[in-house]
Amino acid sequence: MFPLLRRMLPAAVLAVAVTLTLAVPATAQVTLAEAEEAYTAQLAWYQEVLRQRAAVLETHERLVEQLEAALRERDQEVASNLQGRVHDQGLQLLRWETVAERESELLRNAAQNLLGALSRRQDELSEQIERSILPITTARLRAELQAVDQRYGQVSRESGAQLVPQLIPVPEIRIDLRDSPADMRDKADFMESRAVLYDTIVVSIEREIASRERRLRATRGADGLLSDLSRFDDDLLTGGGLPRLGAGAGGRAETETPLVLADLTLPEQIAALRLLREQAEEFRNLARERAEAFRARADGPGTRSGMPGLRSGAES
Amino acid sequence: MRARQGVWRRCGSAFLLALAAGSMALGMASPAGAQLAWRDFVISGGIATEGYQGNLEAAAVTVRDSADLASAVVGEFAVRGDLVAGLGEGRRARLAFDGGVRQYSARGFELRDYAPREWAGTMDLSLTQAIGQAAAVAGWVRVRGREVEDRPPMPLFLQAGYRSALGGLRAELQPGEHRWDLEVRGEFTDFLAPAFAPQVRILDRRTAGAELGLRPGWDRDGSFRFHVGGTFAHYPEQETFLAEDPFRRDRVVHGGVSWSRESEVFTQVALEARANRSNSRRPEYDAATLRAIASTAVGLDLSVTGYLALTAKRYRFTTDAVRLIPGEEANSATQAYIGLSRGLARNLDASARVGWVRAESEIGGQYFQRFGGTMLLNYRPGF
Repeated sequence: MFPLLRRMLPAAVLAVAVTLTLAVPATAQVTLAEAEEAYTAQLAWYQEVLRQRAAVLETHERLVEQLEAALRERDQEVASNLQGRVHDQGLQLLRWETVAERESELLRNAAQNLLGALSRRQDELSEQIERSILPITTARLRAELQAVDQRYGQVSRESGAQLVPQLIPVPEIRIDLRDSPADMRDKADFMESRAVLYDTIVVSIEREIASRERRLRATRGADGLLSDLSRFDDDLLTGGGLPRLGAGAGGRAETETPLVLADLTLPEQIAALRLLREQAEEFRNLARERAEAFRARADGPGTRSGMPGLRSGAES
Repeated sequence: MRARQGVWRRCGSAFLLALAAGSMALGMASPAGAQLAWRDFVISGGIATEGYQGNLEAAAVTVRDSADLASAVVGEFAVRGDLVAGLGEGRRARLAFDGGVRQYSARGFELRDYAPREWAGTMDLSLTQAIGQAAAVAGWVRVRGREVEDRPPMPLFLQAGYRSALGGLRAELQPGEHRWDLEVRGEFTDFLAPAFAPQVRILDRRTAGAELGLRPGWDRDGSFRFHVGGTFAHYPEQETFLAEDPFRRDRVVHGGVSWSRESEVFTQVALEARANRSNSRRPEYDAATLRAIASTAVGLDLSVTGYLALTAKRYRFTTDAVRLIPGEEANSATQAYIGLSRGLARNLDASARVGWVRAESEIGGQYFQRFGGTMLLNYRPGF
């Protein structure tokens, strides 16, 4: 599944942009601290496995070079000795390859748990920012939200756990009767920054759609020609044509979960990305509208320093 | 009119019945709430002009004509689709079909002008069950029918009509980084011989075979698959003229490797070798075929596709009466096609293609050629 994922989701741009604000479906309900601890430990062990594998590979390559040199010099005794060592080292390499594959899968699972926990924390922080009264508290929460966003992006990148993305909705930050003009402008700036982020995501998604449409055209071109040749047996003149995509009477067994974008067919991926783009555009427009509303209120009459405990609650 | 009804009885109705049966089977197998999804559905129509060269003998054609060159205008209509139903718990059903008709208006023959019509239809039905995260089993059936009306003499070679049924079981297993697959399959094919050409029935065959495949989990660009397999074939209407072993029986061993890469340049290359051994000396041969296809989008909403197939073949014994059947015995053929397609609307694209085929006739060592151009419109409702 991993090579497939790498092939079909090469867009680091989308990963960077989307992962800043995206959430994954909740998996196991572990706490953020537990998920972070499990992921960090698994990542450290996986990196250790990769180091061990690299060391074995280096030794293996060095032995192979020595063996080739011995064979060139027709030194049978040395060559015979080296052949055995190359064989042993090859077996070790194979074992480490298997371990690396297994640990990679475990790392992906740990990453998915952590991404789920980070996503839930993002939701909590957004709600807390909405409810916060003191500017110092709001600033602290925003800083934490930013850190969580960055951690989300980092985990996504280093684990490769890119699932079908879901956008985080526009935060429900409201106008409070106690807000000063500065608070309003602050909220407007926050909403504007969200709108800019959604804009970036829209552009990234459009690039992804365009890339997949080109791939789809190439795939359909090949599939159409092979279909035309096999339909009337024109390909039988050479004993049968190439297997058609998705054909082969049994077809490829599909055991992976469809939650991973790369496992969807290209038309399904394009449809999913189009939906995501529409949603991102809606969120961008909404964020921009709210930013304008905050700014209008900040610059207009009727804004004053709020009284503790009072919230309008109706405006958004 | 009567002839056309016959075609529907033999081929079209078989295909439609198979399609209906497949749909019913899929429907019956789909519990409430099963997710049905069209992976593709394409309606195609177009026109082609083709030329043919090679005044050769053909065992399955009753009429001979002295023309060495002939030409035809061909109209074509086809429908194909691929429907998948997710049945839950790792179970999936798939129905794929592909059918069409080609009407020729041929010129250049000495005897008369011919107007052959080809009907062909294929339906695949499969059921796949995942077993855990690393294994799956699948059962599949395929029915196929083909009919040709007003079959012309050479050099316009058209395969004879037939009906066939295939079925198989397939298992896939990925214990580590490599993915293994094993398939056993059987086939039953009967050719539709007109009363005045019973020799066509010599192509009737029953086969059983198995293939083992390996997709290495190499971290390389593209995906490889190695395969090896064997097939037993029995030809109940083809005599060996040996009293102790009167009917032809073949054993085919094949193996090869294929490589495919799905990116903005789609590429697929396959190399396969096969050895055919028989209780009859005549059809014993060794052959190797290289096939490649590449397709890519080139801007302006255009995509270009190229296909090439080359076969080399060597007979084990020289006989006076080498009467091999094109398409049935890995003939030495070279095929080359190149095409351009362009999107005209969201669901509609047009394609233009030129092609050339040079293939061995039924008399070993002699070749006929086919060349021409095709214009097609492809409509994908809902895609």
